Amino acid sequence: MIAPRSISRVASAAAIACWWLFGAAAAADSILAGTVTDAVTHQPIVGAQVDIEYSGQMVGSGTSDVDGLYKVPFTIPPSAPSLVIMIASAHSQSYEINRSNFQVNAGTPVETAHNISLFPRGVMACLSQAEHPVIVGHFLSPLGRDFSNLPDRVALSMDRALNTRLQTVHLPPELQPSFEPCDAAKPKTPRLGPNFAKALRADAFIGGDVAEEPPHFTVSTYLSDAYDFFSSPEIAISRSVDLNNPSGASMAAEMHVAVLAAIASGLARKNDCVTAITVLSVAEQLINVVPSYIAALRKDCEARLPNAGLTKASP
Amino acid sequence: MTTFGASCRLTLLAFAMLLEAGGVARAGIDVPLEREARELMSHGERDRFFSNVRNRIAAFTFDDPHAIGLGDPIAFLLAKKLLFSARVSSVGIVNYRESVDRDFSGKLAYFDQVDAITEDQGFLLAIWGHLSQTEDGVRADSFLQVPANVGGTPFFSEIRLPKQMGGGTLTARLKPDRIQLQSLDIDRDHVSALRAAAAEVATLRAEPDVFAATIGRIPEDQPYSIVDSQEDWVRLRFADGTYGWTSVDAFCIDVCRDLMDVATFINDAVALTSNLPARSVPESLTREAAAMSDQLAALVALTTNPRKAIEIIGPWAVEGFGSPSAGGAGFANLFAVASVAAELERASALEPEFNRIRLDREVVERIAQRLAEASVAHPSDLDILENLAVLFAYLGDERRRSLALQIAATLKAR
Repeated sequence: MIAPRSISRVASAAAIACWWLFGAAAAADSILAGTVTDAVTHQPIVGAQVDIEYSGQMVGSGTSDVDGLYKVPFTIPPSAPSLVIMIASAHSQSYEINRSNFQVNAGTPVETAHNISLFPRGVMACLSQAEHPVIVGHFLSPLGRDFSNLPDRVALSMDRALNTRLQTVHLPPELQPSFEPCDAAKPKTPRLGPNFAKALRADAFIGGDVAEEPPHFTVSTYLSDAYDFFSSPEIAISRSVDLNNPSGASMAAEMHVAVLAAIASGLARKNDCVTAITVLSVAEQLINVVPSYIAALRKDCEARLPNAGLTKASP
Repeated sequence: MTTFGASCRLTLLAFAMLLEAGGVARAGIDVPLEREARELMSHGERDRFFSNVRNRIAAFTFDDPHAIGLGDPIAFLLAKKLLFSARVSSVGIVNYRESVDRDFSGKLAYFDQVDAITEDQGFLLAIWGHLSQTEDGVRADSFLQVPANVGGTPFFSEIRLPKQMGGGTLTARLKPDRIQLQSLDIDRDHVSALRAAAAEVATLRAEPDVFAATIGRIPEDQPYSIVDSQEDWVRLRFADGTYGWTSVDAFCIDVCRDLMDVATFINDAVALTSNLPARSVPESLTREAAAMSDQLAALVALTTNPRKAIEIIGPWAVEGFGSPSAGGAGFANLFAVASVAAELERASALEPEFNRIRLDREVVERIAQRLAEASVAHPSDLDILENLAVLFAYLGDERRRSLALQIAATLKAR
């Protein structure tokens, strides 16, 4: 039983060795082309290395150009069947490695362009299993200050404050937001917040900065959502924050309201206006002057519900 | 111990047992939360505490994610205030304390423990809360929970329509069933004072006096009941036959007094359901608490005096039920049910045979129209939809009746 299998293994190893010795010097069999972009900003990545592997061997290699374009020639081992699956492995400094499969049929890649996106280092770990994540990213800090634990504290504070309220209206656990600290998520400008929300498949992204005004700090937070509900980041400022206190990081009510609006807009987009209005009703209780964006979202949802038909007398 | 003392104790014991047997007792117990939650999960259900007592209330240790160490003292003080200052004669207070046993694997989230236990025990009301650290100290958020399944509780009421109007039933219930009662900021200096107050209340004294000799502490897992009282002091008898005096008001001052407003509010709410007069809501409490108090008063009045119910709801109706406000759906629905009840009461002056009453269609149409608008603002409210179906049936509006039922069925299926 063992012998035939050993023989075939020896044979295929010999075939690969033959190809490696003789085939490598020969001209490339095919070319894989595409772009390498930043998964968050969608900007091209220059100088990313793209390696092509088959059966554990590197069969081609190249780098992306100034537009993020790459064209990598590669060889196909003679032993390979006509339809094969190969691996493109891309990496670049400050990005995480990305390995993706592509198909080659009769010597030609099936896709005309194999586009690859790379996550900034550390950010991919923030991809959450939760159904409704809200990512709390990096807070820019004054020089010489380290507030890398601020996302953790803000996430905990918001989780307690908001989920307690959402539990009072019986929002099912799977619909409750999960606040995920992610200090690796560092948008260069707040305008990139929506990109982080979308790339991390979250409802919203919260970032901010800390300004020191001894003896206190002013913490500015901004919130972006993944549904293009907020056309620009929604900003809230918490003044006189005592950041030397290890656990205190309570956020302004405006920030809580904005998070709820982001969640509600996601629900409305999925056509669950009943739940969206339930979430909005919590936001309405949190603040004295209800922001116009909340009122507008409620109106839009109310109009989409069948309940509106109950107000019109039948002829 | 003299013979007199022993016989006195026996008499008191017999007296207390007599009281409990008749469901008239003021009793309490302090138990660990996590053990109760764990045993509930492994056994499916637990024996009910004080099952023969009419008003059973739970006070859960406040969730304390930052380990401030106030979760137990706050719940303990609230539980004792609830018991010592109860306005009704039959009350049982269960104080769920934080467990020492912290390595419970597969541990439920705080809120899920509260929810599961409240449902299993069938408490009339439950208080829970959570603590957060603020810039100046600690914030204690207190919540009140009314059981979700309210059949047979005072938080639910219904009126029947006359046979001539279809004989349907309109239902009203307290909404929302979970409300925030208070959000209290406790500055740093008062945190230790609260802990000290709880420790004093837990201490049993030989006489009803701050300076009396201390004779022990309120133990865990041992039921006790009030057997005597003198001004702010109560005398407790424990299951093992021991006694001791204690007091909340003698030790609870400053911010602790504000905190006790939560217990006072709940005692007033329970009193209301026993037809005792309403009292004003303490100022430290939320608007939601005030809304709940009025809604409960209106609900209690609904069947006997619907016009009074409408009067109580009146101030909350100014904003219009179509707009979001505290207790919005509950008020809107209660207002409609009370309006129908008031119209029926008026009509019964002319038609003594209840089942022959037919209300003016225009009047009912107006009530239904307002309720339909509330249904748009509160689309998840089932009572509103089911009441609308009853009203539309009377109005002969088959399209709207079936639409209301269809939306209700969709909601129930979720």
